[in-house]
Amino acid sequence: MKNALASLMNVLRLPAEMTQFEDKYLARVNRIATYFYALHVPAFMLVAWANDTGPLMALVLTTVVLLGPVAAYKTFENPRNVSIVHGFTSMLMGGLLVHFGQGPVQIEMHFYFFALLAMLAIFANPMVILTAAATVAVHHLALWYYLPASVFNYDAPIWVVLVHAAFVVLESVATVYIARSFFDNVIGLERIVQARTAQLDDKNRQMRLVLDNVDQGLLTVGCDGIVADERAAVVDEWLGDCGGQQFSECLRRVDEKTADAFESQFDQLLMGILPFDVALDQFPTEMEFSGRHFGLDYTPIAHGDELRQLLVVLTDRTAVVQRERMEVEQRETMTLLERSRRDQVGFLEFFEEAKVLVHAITEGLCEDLALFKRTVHTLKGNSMLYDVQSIARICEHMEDEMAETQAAPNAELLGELTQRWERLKDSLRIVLDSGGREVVQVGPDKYRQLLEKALAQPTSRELAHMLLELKLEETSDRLERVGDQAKRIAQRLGKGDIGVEIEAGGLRLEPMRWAAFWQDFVHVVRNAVDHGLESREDREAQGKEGAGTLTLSTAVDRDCFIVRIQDNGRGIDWDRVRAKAAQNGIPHETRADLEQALFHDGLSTRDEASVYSGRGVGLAAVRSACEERGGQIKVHSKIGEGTTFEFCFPASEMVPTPHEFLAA
Amino acid sequence: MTRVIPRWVTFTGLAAWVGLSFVVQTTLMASHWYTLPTPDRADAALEDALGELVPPHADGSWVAVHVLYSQCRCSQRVFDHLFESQRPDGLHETVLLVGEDASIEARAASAGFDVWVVSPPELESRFGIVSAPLLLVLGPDAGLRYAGGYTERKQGYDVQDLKIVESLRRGDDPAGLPLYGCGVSKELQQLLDPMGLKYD
Repeated sequence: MKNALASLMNVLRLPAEMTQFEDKYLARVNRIATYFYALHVPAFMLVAWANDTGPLMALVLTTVVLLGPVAAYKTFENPRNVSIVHGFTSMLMGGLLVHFGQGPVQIEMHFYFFALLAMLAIFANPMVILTAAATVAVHHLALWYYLPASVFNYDAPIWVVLVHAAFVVLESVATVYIARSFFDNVIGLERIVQARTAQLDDKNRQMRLVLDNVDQGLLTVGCDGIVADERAAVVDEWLGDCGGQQFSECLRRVDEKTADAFESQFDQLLMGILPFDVALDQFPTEMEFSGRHFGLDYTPIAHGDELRQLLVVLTDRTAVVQRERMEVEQRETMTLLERSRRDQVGFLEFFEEAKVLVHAITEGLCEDLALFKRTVHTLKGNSMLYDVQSIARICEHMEDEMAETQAAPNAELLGELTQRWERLKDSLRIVLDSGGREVVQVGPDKYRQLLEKALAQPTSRELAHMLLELKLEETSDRLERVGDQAKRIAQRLGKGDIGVEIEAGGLRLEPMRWAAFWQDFVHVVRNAVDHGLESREDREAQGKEGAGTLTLSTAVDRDCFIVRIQDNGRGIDWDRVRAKAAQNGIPHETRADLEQALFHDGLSTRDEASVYSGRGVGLAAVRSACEERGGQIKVHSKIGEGTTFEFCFPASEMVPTPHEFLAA
Repeated sequence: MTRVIPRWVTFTGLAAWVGLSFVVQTTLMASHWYTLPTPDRADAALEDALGELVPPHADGSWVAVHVLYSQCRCSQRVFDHLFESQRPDGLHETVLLVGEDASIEARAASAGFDVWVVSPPELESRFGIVSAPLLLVLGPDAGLRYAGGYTERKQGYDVQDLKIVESLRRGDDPAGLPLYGCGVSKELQQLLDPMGLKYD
């Protein structure tokens, strides 16, 4: 019972607070109602005149009734209270109409009460209807108290009166329901909207809290390319304020290339030519700025096939990248340690060469851009041969940049190379310290041979040569080392286990004198494997058996010391060389011109460079190294059968005299 | 903003307005809704008084006496009905006009009605009647056969005097219709219109 009463009161009583909309609405309706009642004055005078019930009295009484709502409208602050006065007024006006409209239609005048009772729903306030109904009830009670017979007119029995009252109650209940529904669903709409807005605000706050505290840059980009307001706080922290900005412009502040790539691919995505997943695969997925690495992931938010928004997730991958880099560096260190264990001399030589190259690059010792490119290319090649991928990667970036800008690499890349080199040195310090001592290693057979010669009382000249010989390097060692490198390159290029044949001829060379040449000779080896030898499938298609073979040899022919590399690959496409030479404005009329063109700086038969070759730098470098030792290069090549490069040096260059050695 | 009219003045004024309106409405409605008193058919004094209104030539005939009040709108409508309707043969009709109204008198006389003019106090003292319009029908034996109103509904269009007379002539005994109209006696007027809005 108590609950039912409470529910009833909840229906009848409106919430205390009033929205601005309700306030304005009621002010307007109250004003209209006042005008409506004011019009009753002439209308009732007309009715009174027509029924001979006294127009003057109608004027007086209707005006008196009108005073109430006018006074309330002018003085009440709460428009709901004005409406309640209108509810009371409506019933008074009904009474006057019945009075002044007496005559045959007087009964019909009673419809006014029911019509007005229904019209009061416009105030959207159950209390207004209740006031009107209560006015009628109190009026009847007062009549009954004053003249009981008047309520039971026509000599009506009690049930007739109750039926009469029931209709009023029925209409009042229905009108109360309508008024309350009107209030809740129309007048109170603003309140509902406010409540829902508050709920949404709350949800937004919670979402904001999440967005402000996640370490991923979550954001959505509309089809206009604008970043939505709701985004993770770190987005602005990383890219600057992105509010209302094109996402590509936000990216441009930190990484122009990524911005361009995004802008281009976003346009493609909007055009809808490609499926979403295919189009999204083309978007930039990484970027790097201020020493930090970021990953970019994309998820389309679509309705059917129509793109609505693009969800972008920026992830700071700096720690991951650093960890990966450290792992790579550790693996590199382990690989180098393993190499040094197997071939300490070769490793130390690589390291010494690399140190010189790094120094030349980072200290700007290269005289021109061509030399810079050769130096970087050589460092890259050697690093790859020794699996120092981190250095090779930096060199690759440098080469890309130089190709694009035609200028020396930027300071950032140079700094990166320096740092990596220093870290590499630190991690290999144990090996470097132990290998740094000048040691002459002599095998047991050689030692025995030397001892026997010493006992044979050699001359001092012979003894000097014997001692000098201990410092010489057998070319077989060098060729073996180069052969191993060639095999590794072939594996990486997917050319299988190539064969390498060594024919050293028992020759020896002074290692320091020939270090530069061997260093650049690597380019020829890489070219032979990359350009010369075919893949296993191509070889099979040409009827060739097995993987390709390289033959590395050193020999002395009369006064010439010859270093030869021969492959049984596809041979040089001289027509292509000719075309490329012509394209680069290089002489290309004769075979000799074409051979020269092969070694021309910047000429490559490849349209695109690979990590191993294709930049037209390597052969130019080896020619330069060859010429420094007074050598010449010969090229023999036949399509489908293979290519042979011969480097011919004066035999006198092979080994210095003891005096020359000491002087050096 | 400073309030021009103090709050208590506003509320007091509106409370007075509500109370006054209630009283006015109640009294106005009371005068409309109240079923007016009709005389008792067994009232011998009334029969005697009515007998004095019947001329000798109408003895032995059916006589209808229309008690109409010159100040009453309902009586006006009954007047109009009497003058505009075809009156039955063999029925002697008398208008007992309460209050003077030369126009009505002239119209009634020209339409063949006997007209008697009495004052409201005389109506009460002589006939014991306090309200109008009232239809009284005397039979050929001068006995009061009907005393009541003209319509079934309040101020209805359907004035039933002819039906009532016809019914009586057939020997029926129709029930008296309720009387809606005006109080004529001072006491009744005071009761129905204490504020004097309706009655002078």
